[in-house]
Amino acid sequence: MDADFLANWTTQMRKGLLELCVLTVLRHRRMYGYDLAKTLSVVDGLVTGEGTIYPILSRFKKDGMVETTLVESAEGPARKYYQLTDRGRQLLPKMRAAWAAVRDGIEAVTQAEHLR
Amino acid sequence: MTAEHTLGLTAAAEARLDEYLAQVRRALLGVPDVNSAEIEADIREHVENELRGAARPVELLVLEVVLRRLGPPTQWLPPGRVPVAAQVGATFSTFGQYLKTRFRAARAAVWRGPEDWRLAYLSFGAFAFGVIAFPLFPLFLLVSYILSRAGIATATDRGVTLDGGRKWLLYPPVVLVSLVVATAVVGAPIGIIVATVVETSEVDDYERWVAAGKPMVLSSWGRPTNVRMPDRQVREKFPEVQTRLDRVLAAFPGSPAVQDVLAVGFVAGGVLSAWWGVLGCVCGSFPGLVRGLIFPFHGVFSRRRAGWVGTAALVLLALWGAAAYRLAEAGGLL
Repeated sequence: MDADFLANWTTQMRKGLLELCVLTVLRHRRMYGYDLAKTLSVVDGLVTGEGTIYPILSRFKKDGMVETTLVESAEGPARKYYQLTDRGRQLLPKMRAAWAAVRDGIEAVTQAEHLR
Repeated sequence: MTAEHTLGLTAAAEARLDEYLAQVRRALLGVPDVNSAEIEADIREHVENELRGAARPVELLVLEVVLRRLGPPTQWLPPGRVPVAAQVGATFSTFGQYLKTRFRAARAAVWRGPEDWRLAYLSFGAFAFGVIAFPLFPLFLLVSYILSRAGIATATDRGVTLDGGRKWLLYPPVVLVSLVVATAVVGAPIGIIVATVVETSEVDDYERWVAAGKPMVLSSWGRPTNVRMPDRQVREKFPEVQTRLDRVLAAFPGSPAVQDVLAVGFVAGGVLSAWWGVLGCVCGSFPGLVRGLIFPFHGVFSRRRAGWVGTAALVLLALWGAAAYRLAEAGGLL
């Protein structure tokens, strides 16, 4: 039961953070899905399966946060590159600020508990 | 862009990838906010990138490692959520329960996509409604056909291989319209042949009647009425009258009955040669148009084959023209 709860909780937490990381990585450059999955999969505990990235990208695209461009590749078929839209660029700093506030809040609570 | 075309997998690996993608589609069916077709295309691209340096053909074990890194297909569902497709595949105690769940899956796809599933259900809906409201069937068949073509094109653009379920939704109007077009292509010359024979026969009857002095049917008192004498009687009463067709038919060998059959065969040969000659040349000159018309069965069409059919038919038409000229000459028409 505890294991189920923990798995569920971790998934929920990871999901939001992964979304923030995807947008953050796309902040300065466009990337294609495979590269993005590989970049984020090296972060410990963030990505359980490399495929997790794709539904996030699909949802972001539907929400107008990212857009795609097909670029011919010399190594194979055309690659689909993802890049931030204006909406994505406007939302990213707000998401990062929200995350920073949560992180600092958790840090503060944890420190206070340590000092007690 | 199917797996077998781009990835160079063994048959077992190919089957495993198809199974994995089918699981992804089932897991995502009806899940809002994501486009399962796009995700499927992304997964294909991902697998392709992973296998770039692998020895060909790629073995099942190598693919399995890649799929394991990608994660299980159900990972994308919100926690605790049962995919609509899983409910569809479950065992139901009543048929009504089964129908209700199927309806939910269809409604989810129509309202939330993905687009290729939405088009598939809309196409099937239009087709089914056309069958129910039968007098309006041609109209709904056209609507359903356009939606199916759009659905198939969307799936093709996204590199999605249509599974059995979607084929059943998308193919009925496409198959039906293709059959109608094929029937028209094959049947049109038959119509032309019948029309030509009937028209020629009627012109010949009139010509014989005029040449016989426009005889009328006689009344019981032996006086002529204002009813034209039937051709059979004209032939019996005026056997000496010869029409242009009689002279042409005389150029054919055999008895009059055989000559009639040979003449109809001759007309059929000319019409078929002209039809297939023109059709072959048009199809050979505009292959894109033909492929677009018969998509997704365009694999059966070959521009070269169409060119050969057209050329052969035109050669036959030229020979037919020469024979027709000699017949006309023999019949004293020239």
